[in-house]
Amino acid sequence: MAEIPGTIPVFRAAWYRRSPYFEASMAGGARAVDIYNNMYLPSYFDDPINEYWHLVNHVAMWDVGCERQVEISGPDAFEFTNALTPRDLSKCPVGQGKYVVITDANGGIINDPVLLRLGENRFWLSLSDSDVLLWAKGVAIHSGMDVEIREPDVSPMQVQGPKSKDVVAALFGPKVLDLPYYHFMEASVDGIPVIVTRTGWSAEVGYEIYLMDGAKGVDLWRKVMDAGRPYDIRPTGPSDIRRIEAGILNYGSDMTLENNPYEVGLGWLVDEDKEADYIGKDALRRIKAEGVTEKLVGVEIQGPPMASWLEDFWPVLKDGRTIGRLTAGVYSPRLKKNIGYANVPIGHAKLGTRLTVRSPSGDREATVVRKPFLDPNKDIPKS
Amino acid sequence: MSRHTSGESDPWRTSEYGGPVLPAFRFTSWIQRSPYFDAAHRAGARAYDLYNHMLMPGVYTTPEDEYWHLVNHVTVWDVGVERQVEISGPDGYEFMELLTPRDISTCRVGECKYVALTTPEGGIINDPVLLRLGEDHFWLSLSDWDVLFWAKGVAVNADLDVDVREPDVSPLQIQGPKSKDLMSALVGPKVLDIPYYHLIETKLDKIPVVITRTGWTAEVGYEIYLRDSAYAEELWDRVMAAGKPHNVRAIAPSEIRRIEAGILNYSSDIMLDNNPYEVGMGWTVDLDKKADFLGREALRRIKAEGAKRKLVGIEVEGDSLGAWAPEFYPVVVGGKKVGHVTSLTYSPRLKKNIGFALVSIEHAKLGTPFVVRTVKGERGATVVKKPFVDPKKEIPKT
Repeated sequence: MAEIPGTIPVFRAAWYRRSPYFEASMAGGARAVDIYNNMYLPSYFDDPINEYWHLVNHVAMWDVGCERQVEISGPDAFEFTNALTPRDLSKCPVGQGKYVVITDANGGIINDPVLLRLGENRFWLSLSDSDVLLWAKGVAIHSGMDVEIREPDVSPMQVQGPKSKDVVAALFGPKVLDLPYYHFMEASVDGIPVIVTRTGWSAEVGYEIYLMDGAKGVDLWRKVMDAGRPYDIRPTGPSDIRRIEAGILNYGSDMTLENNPYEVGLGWLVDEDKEADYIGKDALRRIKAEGVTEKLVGVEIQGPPMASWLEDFWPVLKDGRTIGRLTAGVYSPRLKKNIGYANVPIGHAKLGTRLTVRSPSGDREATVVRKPFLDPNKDIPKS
Repeated sequence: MSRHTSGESDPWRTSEYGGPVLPAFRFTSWIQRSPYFDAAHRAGARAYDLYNHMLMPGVYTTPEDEYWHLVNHVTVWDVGVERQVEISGPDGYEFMELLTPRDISTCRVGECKYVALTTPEGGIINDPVLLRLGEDHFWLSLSDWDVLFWAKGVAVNADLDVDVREPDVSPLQIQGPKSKDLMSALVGPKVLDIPYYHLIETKLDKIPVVITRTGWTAEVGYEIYLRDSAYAEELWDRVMAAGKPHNVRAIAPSEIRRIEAGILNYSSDIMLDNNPYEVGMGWTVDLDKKADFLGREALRRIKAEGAKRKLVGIEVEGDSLGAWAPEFYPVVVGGKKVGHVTSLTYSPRLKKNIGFALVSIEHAKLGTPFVVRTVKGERGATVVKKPFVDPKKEIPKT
């Protein structure tokens, strides 16, 4: 394996949580980890470029037990959950998932989970990296609503790539192939209870298997590996390269509490005709009316191939002055280009705008381009 | 399936740092850096801990070497990870009372309090040090987890006029017996008048700071809360210059010293499913305080019924098990798991493995023997009194 730059020595300590797949991931050759929702996330097993090609051509499995769930249930669960997000959940039937943003009273983004509607009054929020459990529990106080909010024993793994259908069909039978994009079903593998969703963080065809019994993680891992062996399945880390090609955002870098949905291109998650009240409604209406002052844009960056992830937010300059920052940047081996996102003032967000990004090894020219960089209609994952 | 028996070939083995380090942790843009990150790196930080989404120096030399420096001299810690939640606005006081079972009416402006933040069920959200900067103006100096979201969430339906935000504030800890010498050289002699758990607001020339007589060591110590991260490098350099005659060194928070002192660590000794009584924080609960607070009924019931589990001090037999534990070792009695070790370290002063274990109440009596399943095999252990040194906290108050 080529030397991979960009690691730093961090404790292995009891206070970081482990997913139920942890032992299997380590035995499977995880070479590095992230810490996400206070839990280890295996970040690569091989050079991320090799993992990218494997994802694009075959099938990859990811230990993403760190996608912690917040479960909202109880008589008022629909009303409560609908108040957490600008997306109109009256349009989300039971059995369907939705990508949503959770917003605070200022319209700032708390998290961007995938929401699963398990029942009329039962929801899971499958989280990116922030403690939404605390937010939701806090909001429930004095809300006058009868809800229960907890972190259930649920740990997802992702099975992504063009051959993922073969793997899940081998595991769950052919009926799983009838799942439409962003729908889910309950299933089991030799008695291991799971929920299977047609979702993922790759914009390839893909599934997530939500394990509902933390004692069975290593078991499930083995069964998925066995089912995937004929299709050359490999454990890998989530691919930053592929998700950036697809225009998928990463909470903590491409958006934070300081950002509203409009400026990061998630305005489509704000249902402007939603009748029900939700947290941030007034602020988001005002922002929409006034227009945003900054925007997350796609950029192509000149110069030699960049690494497979960004270690630092590189400053973005115009005419010698820092105006924003590069929030994501990688070399796409398929496009043979450096691609990424930059957060810039609205006056510098037009397609074709020329910018400078300041890397630790020198300045590079960059141009604002359309994103996603590939498959803008998401035909691939829906196929 | 265990990966902890293969000795040197195990990439998860105990490292040269005196404690286990991951084979590789990805250094990514979304991991935040404290404003002292570069200065700490130049001072020799070589392994880190991730805390509140931010890197904190975890080791410079070895934990044992750093421990001895802390107890004999003076040390500087980059604890920018202690993020602050600022509560202000006309109803700031009332809101602060709502968040904690501790009675804040007895906390004067200029005073600090160690508090638990609790849920309506009595679970602990966090155990910050509270700083009262004004009648309605507070900082909560956090341990790990996004308390900003908790406080903002509670504010949504509280019908109180409060502003909840994360200010640009980054603490340094100055800890050790010679910290008074360093601080009076840095700030002037007025700093020596700050009583234990009190604060002053001041400026070091242009650098705005809040200084508290607090810390995570139970040694004499201070924290300097920098109020403008643009001055981080300058503050670091001035602290080092003021401490030079007193043999100051940058070190990491000392797991050894805080365990000796019985100080708890959120995410290991305390979690959301713990209540204050079972982890020995009952003394921070004023059940009959006048103001409303979250968790009163639950905590009253828990107190009446008695805790079902208890965090106890333990001694573990045999040679050193390292400066910290890589996992929560099971605690076993008669072959049955009755709890887990939450923290464990080898104290070079006491020449023993000491720590805390959360065990069911019937196994919590002093002198109870049990077995701990460690990476180095099964070890005998005994419930002992904690803190392990200076039970009345006379040292930090001197």
